[in-house]
Amino acid sequence: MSGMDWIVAGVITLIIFLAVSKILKDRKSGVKCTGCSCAGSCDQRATSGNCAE
Amino acid sequence: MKIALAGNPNCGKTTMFNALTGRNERVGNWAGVTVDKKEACIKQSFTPENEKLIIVDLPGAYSLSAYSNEESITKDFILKEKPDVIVNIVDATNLNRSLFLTTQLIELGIPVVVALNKIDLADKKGNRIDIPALSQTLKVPVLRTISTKNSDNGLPELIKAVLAAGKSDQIQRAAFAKNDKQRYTFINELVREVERKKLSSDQQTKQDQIDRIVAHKWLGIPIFAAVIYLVFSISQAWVGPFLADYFVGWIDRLYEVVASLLGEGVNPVLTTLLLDGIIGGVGAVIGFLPLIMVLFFCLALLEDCGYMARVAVVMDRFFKKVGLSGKSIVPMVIGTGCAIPGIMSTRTIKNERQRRTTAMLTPFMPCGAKLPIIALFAGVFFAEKAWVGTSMYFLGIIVIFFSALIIRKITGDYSRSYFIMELPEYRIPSLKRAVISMFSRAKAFIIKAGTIILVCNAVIHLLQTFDWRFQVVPESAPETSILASIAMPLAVLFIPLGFGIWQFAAAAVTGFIAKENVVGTLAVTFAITNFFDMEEFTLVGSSTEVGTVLGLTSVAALAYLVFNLFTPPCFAAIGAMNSEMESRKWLGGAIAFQMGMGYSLAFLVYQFGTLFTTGSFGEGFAAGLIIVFTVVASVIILMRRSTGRRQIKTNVQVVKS
Repeated sequence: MSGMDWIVAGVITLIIFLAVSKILKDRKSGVKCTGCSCAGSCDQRATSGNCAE
Repeated sequence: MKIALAGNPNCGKTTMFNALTGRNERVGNWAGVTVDKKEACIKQSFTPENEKLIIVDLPGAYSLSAYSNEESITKDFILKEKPDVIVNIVDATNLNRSLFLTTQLIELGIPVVVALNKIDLADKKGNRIDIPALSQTLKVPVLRTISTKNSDNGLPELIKAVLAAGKSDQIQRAAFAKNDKQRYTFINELVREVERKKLSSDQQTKQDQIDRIVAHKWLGIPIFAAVIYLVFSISQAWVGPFLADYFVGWIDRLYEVVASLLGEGVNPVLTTLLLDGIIGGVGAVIGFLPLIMVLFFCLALLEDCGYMARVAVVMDRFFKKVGLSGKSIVPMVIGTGCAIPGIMSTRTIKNERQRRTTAMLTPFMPCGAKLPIIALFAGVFFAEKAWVGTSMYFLGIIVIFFSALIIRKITGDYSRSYFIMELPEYRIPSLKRAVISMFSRAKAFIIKAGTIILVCNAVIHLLQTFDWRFQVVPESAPETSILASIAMPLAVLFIPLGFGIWQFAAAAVTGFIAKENVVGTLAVTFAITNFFDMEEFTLVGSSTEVGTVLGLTSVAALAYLVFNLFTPPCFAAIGAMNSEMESRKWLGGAIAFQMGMGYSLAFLVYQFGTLFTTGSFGEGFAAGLIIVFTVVASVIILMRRSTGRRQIKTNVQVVKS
């Protein structure tokens, strides 16, 4: 693999890592479906708002 | 300080909640949109001293007697969690109806502030309310509010009054009659004293005249069909594709820029993964964003003007006949945006069988995630696109109707319930609310494309690039890939449906993760970066040319569309079905029923469509017929078993008596 190959592989890994971490972060905070068009109505945080957060 | 927003349904609680907190919760010009309580912090601009105020938006309630599930949520919260202050939102255009709850709230001993909401509409009607007199009689502060306005809306004054009421040690409590009848008499007298109504019989007659046509038992249906056809024409034939052309141009430019940056020297596996798997796959899905935005903008306008509430009334009489009620329409209309909140809103239905049936059938209405599939197949295979979307909506309603009939027979529950819905007044729809709704859906769509769809497309691309020995698959033999070897056995099952092609089988399976994946997977497996490009994959080309690229006939494409729309929804929606049905048996039955329904419908569409267009049945007719016959036979056996159980029950009752 050339240097350019490593850079491209790194960019792809970063993109996928960001996408997966967003999905996992949403799961942890109780969002049932990342980016579903329910406009937040299935967002569990909506029922447990906390000003301290 | 915890502040509860309580009031009758459709008095503007969620609109006020959004205005006070800056959130973007779903609002609608009809009763029953909010089915659960929601909490958020108030915007800092309302509390100059940075006080910590939590606002709780409660479902609408006519009284604290809790006749419905959502009224129970409101009652339980107020009685058990005891908020510091209750903001009782009163619809200024309907004082009589609203004040019953007000009197009950005042009696609780919690400070109450009355927000006379929609006061602008009352003013417009020429109604005058003597606010000081009302406040004096009720012994609580009463303020004018217009939650829909950005400024001069009375909200800062309301919060000031709330803070004062919350900090005050003295609670003045008015005494009201214990008897409901006497209480209503008191309210009627109070309203007679404080309100001067300008009677406009003309305006009432106008509303009634429109309703006589729009909500007519027979005329209402063709009007609804025409409205949906118009919405699909605007979103998928006129405005949507025009905007999509520009939008897809930007995605193409991004693709070209990245391709030129990579050049020739980079490993082709990495290049194709980035270009075709990630940018191409996600871009193909994102390309449908303008069409979806226009569609949701139109639907939001329809809902806001009060039309969708009339659709519920028109449908009620048909749904009642199959054991559902008008209340089942509300989740189904919400489900056109996303099945999950639609399924969640079934909790307002008290009858258990009706609630579970509605949760099972709501995903049959095409949701936002299914729109790219409709748009893709309608655009690619059919010159007249708008009728495809419209007919899918109506096919959804027909399927729901017959499915409800079957489920009623299987469960043997013939109980009926009655649906009373307060029809909101017609109003000019708010462009602001429609734009907010449109952008919130667009944001969700982009997030989904950038997360779940992106990861799925990358995985699909890798599975397609390598074989089981992790060697790169040669271009001449794509069927040796891991993906093809997994999807091929499934594809055999789809031969009787006209799409026994491994790429389509793979796309149908990834659709269970998120329905948009169907488009993304097709884009990756056929190496198509955009479905709008006239050169690469022409929308204006004949369906035969396109069919050659994809290996499908128009009839098979329609069958594939039907299959994806009527098989089980995405996993997240199945999760919502699980929590609302509260029964593994019902959930298993629902998934099996949806699978059988999707397969059987696709079989009928393909085989009879092929018979109609070519004069003979399509490939795999006999095998498909056996599968469909097994599905139908299973349903009939279940229905007969239930009839048998019912007869035994009746006989036992006769013997007992």
